[in-house]
Amino acid sequence: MSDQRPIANLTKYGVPGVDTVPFGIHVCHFYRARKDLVDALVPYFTAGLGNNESCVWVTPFSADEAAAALAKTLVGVDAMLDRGQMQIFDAKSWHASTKGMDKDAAVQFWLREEEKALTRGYQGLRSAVNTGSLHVDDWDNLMDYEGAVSDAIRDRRILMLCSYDAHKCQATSVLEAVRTHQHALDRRDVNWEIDSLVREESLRAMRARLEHATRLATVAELSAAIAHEVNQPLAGVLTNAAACHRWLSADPPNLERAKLTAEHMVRDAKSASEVVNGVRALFRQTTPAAVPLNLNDVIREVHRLMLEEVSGSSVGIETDLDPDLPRTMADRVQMQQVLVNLVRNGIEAMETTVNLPRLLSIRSRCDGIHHVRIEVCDRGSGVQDPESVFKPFFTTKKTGMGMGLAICRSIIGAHQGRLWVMRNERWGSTFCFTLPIVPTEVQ
Amino acid sequence: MTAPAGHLVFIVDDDYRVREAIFELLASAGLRSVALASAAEYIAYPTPDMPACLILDVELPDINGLDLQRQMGDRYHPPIIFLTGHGNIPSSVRAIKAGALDFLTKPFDDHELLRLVHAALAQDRERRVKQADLDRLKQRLRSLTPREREVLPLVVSGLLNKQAAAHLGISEVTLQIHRASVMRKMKADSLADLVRMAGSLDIPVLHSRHV
Repeated sequence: MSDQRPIANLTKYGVPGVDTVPFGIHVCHFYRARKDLVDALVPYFTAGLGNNESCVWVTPFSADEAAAALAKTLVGVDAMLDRGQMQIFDAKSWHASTKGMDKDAAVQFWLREEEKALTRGYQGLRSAVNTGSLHVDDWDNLMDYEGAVSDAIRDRRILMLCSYDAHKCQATSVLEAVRTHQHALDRRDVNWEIDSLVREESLRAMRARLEHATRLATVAELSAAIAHEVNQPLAGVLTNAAACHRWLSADPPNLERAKLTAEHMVRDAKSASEVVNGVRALFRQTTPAAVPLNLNDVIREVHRLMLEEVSGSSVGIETDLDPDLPRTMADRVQMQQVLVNLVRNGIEAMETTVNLPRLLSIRSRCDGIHHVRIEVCDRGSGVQDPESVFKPFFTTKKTGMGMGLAICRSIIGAHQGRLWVMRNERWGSTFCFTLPIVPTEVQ
Repeated sequence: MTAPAGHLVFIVDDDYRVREAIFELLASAGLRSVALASAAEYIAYPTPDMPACLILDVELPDINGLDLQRQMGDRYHPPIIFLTGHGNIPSSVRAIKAGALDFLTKPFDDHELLRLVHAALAQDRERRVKQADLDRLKQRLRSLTPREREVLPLVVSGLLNKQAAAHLGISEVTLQIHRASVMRKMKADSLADLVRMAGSLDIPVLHSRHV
């Protein structure tokens, strides 16, 4: 989450009857009439443009007709065509210009388009290509190419939808087309049906993404990432609002552009709230990962990690661990997050300490017969108000969001423990948390 | 504020939401801009022959905005307005010291951004006028003959015709002809005017009159 900004691996497909799909799928699609094509492809591209993907449409009708069909449901099509986010080609000239290109070159073309889209900041590449009359003239080469595409785009942020004119396809060619694509789309009344594989794949991708994100982030990184992820769309909302206001106040008012900026405001506000929901999901997702855990092991790991971080500075970190510490039920990653956060806090609290050694101690003890107790003790300036430090967005530092201790407390609370802070008698403060011991029968 | 005549604002931000929004904001204020997603795209963009300014996100995926500023270093680049997701004091100081016009924290105030863009374009316009003046002077200087180019520093150093002529080993009359020709070609109204031009062109002045 820190160095690589995660981008959702799922996207709305847009075709009526099909929900979200993962990137990297290659679908074939059989149409009977022009209306079939428009009904499927206009919402397909509307969804793609709405998700800020770069789109390529190779259409059997003229580019102008295709653009006009899109403009019926989508505002700002001209602007998207102007900046190249949406490209429309008519199938005849497209196939004439790619004639003689071998299959590798054709596949490379799409991969390059995807790279171009990603460097320009788009979420991915979405295309729909009409096979035109190719499947009559050059069927074998076409199938060869389609198979190569399926293999090449599997791990890429590309969606490809290939449209075949059902009237020109024989039964055997339909089967072959379905075989060389990963999925097939066919019309059932108003909606379209896609094979069920897609849904399973998308669920699997989402779970993997969540697990990955949780494993990577420490509390501090997570808070910074949340702040960044919320701040960006918020900047979008505010700036669009200012632009919208200006378009409306112009003489005469520019309603088209005002509408566009209003739509962007909605889009950006939604993406901010998706971040918030994502964060909730992240914490929900990880709670059941509690296992019997010896906190001494976690403390040693964090100790090693933090010693590297302070090496070269005047800060020392010591541990004082109870060798007979009973095990607790806890999520290992979350315990690391809590400890790293408390240790970093302590180190930062000692930044102003000059007249005594900057020493931080981490201790583990039994607390009665039902709890273990972990203490992180610093020689800093001491906390002024022991309760307010746990409030969200409370911070005494120039950087940081003031979320670290609040998240720590919520993690410890979710483990049926308690986190608090005490002023030390002479200098600094001690953060303590308790966690219940695993009953003997479980151990 | 009225929109200045010819101008171009570059917006470089990897977040499409932010760069689109700024593009719209500038458009609604009558300002022409191009929105780019990376430093590489900006570098590849042809340098416009008109006043320009650059709104640059500090955290770009391909290169840190501050590093880009450093890379452009001495070469001419339009005034920069930095945008950052979080107000980081040391990096703002570094950017401003290296010549950035300002450092805005997202989300930013629209009036503030527009004010800065207008200030940046005005600054660049002024620089372009100065540059154009200098280019004209350089062209005039190139039109001088080698002998006239020898005469010029002597004259602007305040040497008498007699002294200058002696220095070059030519007659005073010949020197006067060269001198008049220098004045005409440089389009100088007076000796003071010629001295000012020589200053702009960094022509060294001789410090002693007794050469």
